[in-house]
Amino acid sequence: MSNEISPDPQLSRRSFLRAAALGIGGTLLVACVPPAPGPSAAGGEQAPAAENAPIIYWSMFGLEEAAQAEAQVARFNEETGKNAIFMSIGWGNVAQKAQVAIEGGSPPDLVSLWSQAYTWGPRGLLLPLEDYAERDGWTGQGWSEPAYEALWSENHLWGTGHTLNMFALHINKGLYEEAGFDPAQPPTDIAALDDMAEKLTTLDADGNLTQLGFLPWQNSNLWHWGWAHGANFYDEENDKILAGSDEHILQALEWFVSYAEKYGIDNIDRFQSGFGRATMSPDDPWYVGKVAAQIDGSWKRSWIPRYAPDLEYIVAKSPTAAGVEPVSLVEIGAMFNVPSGAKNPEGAWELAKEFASKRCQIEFGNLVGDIPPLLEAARDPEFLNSYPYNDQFIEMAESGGRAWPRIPVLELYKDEMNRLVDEVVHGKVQPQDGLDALTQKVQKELDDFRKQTAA
Amino acid sequence: MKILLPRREWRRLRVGLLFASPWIVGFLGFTLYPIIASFYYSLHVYTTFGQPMQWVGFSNYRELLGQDKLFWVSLYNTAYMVILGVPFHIALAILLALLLNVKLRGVAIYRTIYYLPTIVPVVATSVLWLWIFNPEYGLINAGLSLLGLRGPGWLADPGLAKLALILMGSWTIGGTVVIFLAGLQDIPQQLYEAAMIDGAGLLQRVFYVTLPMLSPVIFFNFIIAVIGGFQTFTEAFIMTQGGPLDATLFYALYLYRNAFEFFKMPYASAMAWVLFLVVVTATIFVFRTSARFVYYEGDGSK
Amino acid sequence: MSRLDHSLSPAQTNQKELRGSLGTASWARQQQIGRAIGHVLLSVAGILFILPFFWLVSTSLKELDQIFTMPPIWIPNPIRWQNYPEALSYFPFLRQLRNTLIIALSSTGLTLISSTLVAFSFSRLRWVGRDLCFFLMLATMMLPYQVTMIPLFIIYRSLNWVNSFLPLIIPHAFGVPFFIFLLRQFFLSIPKDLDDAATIDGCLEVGILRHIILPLAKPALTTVALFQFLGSWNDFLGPLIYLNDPDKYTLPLGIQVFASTSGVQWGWMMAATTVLTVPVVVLFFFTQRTFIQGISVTGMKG
Repeated sequence: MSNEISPDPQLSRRSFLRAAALGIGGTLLVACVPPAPGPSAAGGEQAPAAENAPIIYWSMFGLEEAAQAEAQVARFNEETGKNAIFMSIGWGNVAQKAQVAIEGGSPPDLVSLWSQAYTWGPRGLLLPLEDYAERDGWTGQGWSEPAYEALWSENHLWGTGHTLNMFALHINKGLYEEAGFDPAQPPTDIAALDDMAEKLTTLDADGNLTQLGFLPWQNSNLWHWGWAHGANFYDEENDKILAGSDEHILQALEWFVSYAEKYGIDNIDRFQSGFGRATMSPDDPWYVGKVAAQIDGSWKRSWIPRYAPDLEYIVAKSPTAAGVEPVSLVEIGAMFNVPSGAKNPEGAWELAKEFASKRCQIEFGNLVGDIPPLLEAARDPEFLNSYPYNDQFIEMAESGGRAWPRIPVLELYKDEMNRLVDEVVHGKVQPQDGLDALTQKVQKELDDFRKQTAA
Repeated sequence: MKILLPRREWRRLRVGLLFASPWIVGFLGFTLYPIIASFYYSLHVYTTFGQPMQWVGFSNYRELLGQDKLFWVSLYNTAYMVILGVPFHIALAILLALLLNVKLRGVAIYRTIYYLPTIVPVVATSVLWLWIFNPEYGLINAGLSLLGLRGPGWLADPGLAKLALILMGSWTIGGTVVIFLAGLQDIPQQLYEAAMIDGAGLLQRVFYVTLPMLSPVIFFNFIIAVIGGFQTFTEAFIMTQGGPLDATLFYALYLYRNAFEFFKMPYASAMAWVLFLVVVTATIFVFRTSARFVYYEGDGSK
Repeated sequence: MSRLDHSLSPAQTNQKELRGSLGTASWARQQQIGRAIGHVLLSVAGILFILPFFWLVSTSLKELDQIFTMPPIWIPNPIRWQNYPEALSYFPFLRQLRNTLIIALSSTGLTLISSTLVAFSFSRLRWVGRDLCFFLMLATMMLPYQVTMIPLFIIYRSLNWVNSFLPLIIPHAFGVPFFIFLLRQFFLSIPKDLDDAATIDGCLEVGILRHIILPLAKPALTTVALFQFLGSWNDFLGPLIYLNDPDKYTLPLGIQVFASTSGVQWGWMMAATTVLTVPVVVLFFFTQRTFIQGISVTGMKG
């Protein structure tokens, strides 16, 4: 016979299968035990117990921020007797997890996101909170105006916030002084900015960049510089995208192109790609002097002691075009949103209000360096004196701050703007043509959205 | 209309279905609904979550194919990766597997080393490759400058970024290599020896013994690589975000943006189905042409 | 290939013949040169391949300010061993290890059983509609996961499986298309004559599977087990979406705890990642030695 299989493999096959079955059965038993019925930490299908329904909070924070948030939640529970449960999901993951959970019908009660609200809210993923706010008299009194505005879109209040991201010009003091400038006189208009950029940019013998004085799109974008030239990106009354029609935006864009032409876009690309992924490390190009000045965020000053403790720096309000007051984006750093379908929206609202309270704002601001939206909190000596140059940012929060155009297609608008700048500075498309194409595309999306949701 | 089968066929059908039943049940239970749902979505537009969606027929598809420049860009980018990358990686993996199949001292260690990049987390690989490709002092350009050449921008150069990613992809062929290695074990030693007696040199042995016997596995890895290639996503998502100038805007990345950033899940579903058609077509093509190249010893044909 | 039939004399006779035809001395020298070349090639490329793992380990021992320097620092100075105990005590490491093991082991067991059965059906059994089902199964791999994620979540939610291990384990009981395809290819290369012989002997299909296919498919089965284990071990998206309680988290998910909006504790994270990766490397090393060292022989004679 040709069958050469010895008896052994038979037995070993059988025993293998038996072992596997045992193994699986065993582990399945163990594995099936954990999903205990009862208060699991996701909106299960049970009705909440009347008194102490849990408030499930999915947070974007980690490490020290999470530790602080956890402490704040514990304090909240102690003082109010409620049962808030803090869960650290992480900055990179919370949006993905939350979106699947909300759309899948199993949402948390409170979630901290950043600007997702403008996209998610009008599409029904978040619970509008203006009724709660009106009932409780939570009106953003004493808040920085653009900050409070930033919580609203499409006539709905989507959440509260506890911190603002703001932006200003950060200058390497050493390099500035070396080039003969007076540290007490940072540039305030575009011309001075260009001058500084010129003097602080150096090239080597082959014409490669070795130090960049200033580059408009290094760590910043057309939004900021558009506002700095006095532009408006969206006409709320007429629901129109203004990228193509507002000439200030064109001016800003052409100013970008002037930099590309001055140094050669290839040179700039090469130099910039040498920066690597260094923003949260000691190798940030601005710390090490590769870039002398750039627009950066209010949180940077809390990173400097950690990554570049010897750096001497100046923070100045962003230079602007003639006749335009100093400007900065005012962005809600973390918005506390209540998802649609949350089991305990009432409790979530209470927790959201607590996070937005004065004391929580100061605590967070001190930890991270960002500006509290409540001006009283910002001006409170406990915060005001915690980092240098806080007053600069606070002044802009009081006036001169601009919020995003909070339209439901904001993400597309941002994505297209990035693409536009990229293409224009590389000479692939003319500024006005690019702006027109962008306007057409985004406007169409906006109009489509209006049609679809009106139906 | 009842199909009458001879009794033997009927029995075979029952047995075949019985063994295949795990997959069939799983398919009906877990896979079918999401597939149908995504197709259903693609024929609608989102109004508001919680409200019914609005029927638009094929207008998503029309918009995708007719008005969306980025659709074509991303499709081109992805096809580029598949057409150039897949043959390259498969050939490299076969070569590596042949090398690693030799009974050298310590070859087990080598095999583990070559497999390492696939189990090391993406963050490590991306940091390293950003360094390797760094135009200023990356490994490659540093080497080139030793030869007096000025290295190109690699990931910063729209013309080279995809090639750079293909090069980077050759690092994670470990899984493919292991599957080839498993396949190589099944080639009887006697065939090689008979070939050598016949006077076949190394290359001839590879082409006349190894590759044909390995062809079912080559076929597998090829199809898998094609399917996977069309879904290239992670490196672009982490390292280049689709740039520079959309050179690495891959189809799956654009789809992800549409689904999770711009919140146009129906549009993304339409994208998914167009991709599906493309991949199915490519796969059928490979299947048809494979009949000539793939040798199944268990087919009873040769 | 006309002289390559299966009626060959045993291995030893071949070796003698070969040696005889080439001359013992030059045969030995050929082997030596071959070995040397092999070592050189493998080690040169091997250095490149080991880099990410090396960076991972060296970063896990660095002070925070040395981590992202460009060019990277390879040997940390000073060496910060404390990263390890600090990282491992920062999050419930042991518990998450247990969770990860449970999921990986049970998934592997289930995958092995179910995928083997289905692959057997697709390769060794002939039934009406078999190839259609096979292609349908392949097709399910061609739809990007981004668009089926949410409907699938809805299915699991309606089963009340969210926030448990079940969505991560149970689907494997229904076969995994990737592995079904792989095993099918391997099974197809086993000569059909063995089946016929067994059938004549009175063997049913189950018998063929058990007595013929399984013993001969050891490399393939081991590969499937290894890959499934690794896949489950390193799976991140599944646990992220389906697990809510931190005490159910798996290691890849748990490691995320080292990231915050103002910075990532890279030293700790890399230390934890190394601890996550090393067992898998060891597992791979020992597993591949079991199934790649041997060369199987087809059980055929005249």
